[in-house]
Amino acid sequence: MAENQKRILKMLAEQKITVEEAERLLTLTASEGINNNTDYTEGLPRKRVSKYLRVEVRPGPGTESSPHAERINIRIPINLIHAGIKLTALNPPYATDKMHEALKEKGVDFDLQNLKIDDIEKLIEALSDLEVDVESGKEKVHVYVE
Amino acid sequence: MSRPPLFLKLRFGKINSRHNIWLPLFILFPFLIIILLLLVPFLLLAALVLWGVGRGKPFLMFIPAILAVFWALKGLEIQVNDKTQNVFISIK
Repeated sequence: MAENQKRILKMLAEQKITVEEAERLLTLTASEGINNNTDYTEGLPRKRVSKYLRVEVRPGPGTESSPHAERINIRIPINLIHAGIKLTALNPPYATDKMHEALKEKGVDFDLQNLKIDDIEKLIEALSDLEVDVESGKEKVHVYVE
Repeated sequence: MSRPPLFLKLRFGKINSRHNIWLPLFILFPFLIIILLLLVPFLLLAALVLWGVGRGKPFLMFIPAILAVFWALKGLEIQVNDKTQNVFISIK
């Protein structure tokens, strides 16, 4: 049990706060636990629910002063990724084939029909434990969830 | 239950002449509802006709899927900066 919750219960036992106040405080500490990486209300740590995928592109070392140095900061709601995948499932087969061809032309050999929500969930879950940093000579790419 | 996006914030322009625009998306909701209601009979008809050949489902699921995407747009932020230009899009 978290330290704050113990303190609230102790205050209640000592009649320093009412039952309603204790209930309100316990609710607040529980939601705080979800917002901070872990929640220990039932003894076991619970994973935080990730809400956004962040992609940041910054100029690499030595290129900050370049006139073409770009900074890109994108925050994508995880729900939007889910909704987008569901929407791609509604694509008619001929449209999907055209999309594959266009992607292949751009050098992306990726089958959208093989993209499953479960796989994306696993990927996002994995990203909540790690951050991806790619650094080339010109720029730094940082991908993480928050 | 989450609420739909209500505002679109746009900021663009050069460093010395930036433009800020707040678009209240909720003003568009009545028009959106009217368009969707007008589309429903056609989509249902198309779904019914094409159900036999296995292509009815996309028509039936089209409006819920589009609404889900629209709902999920809340919180999207895109910011692109370079030395001279700045573009910022935020949906709240």
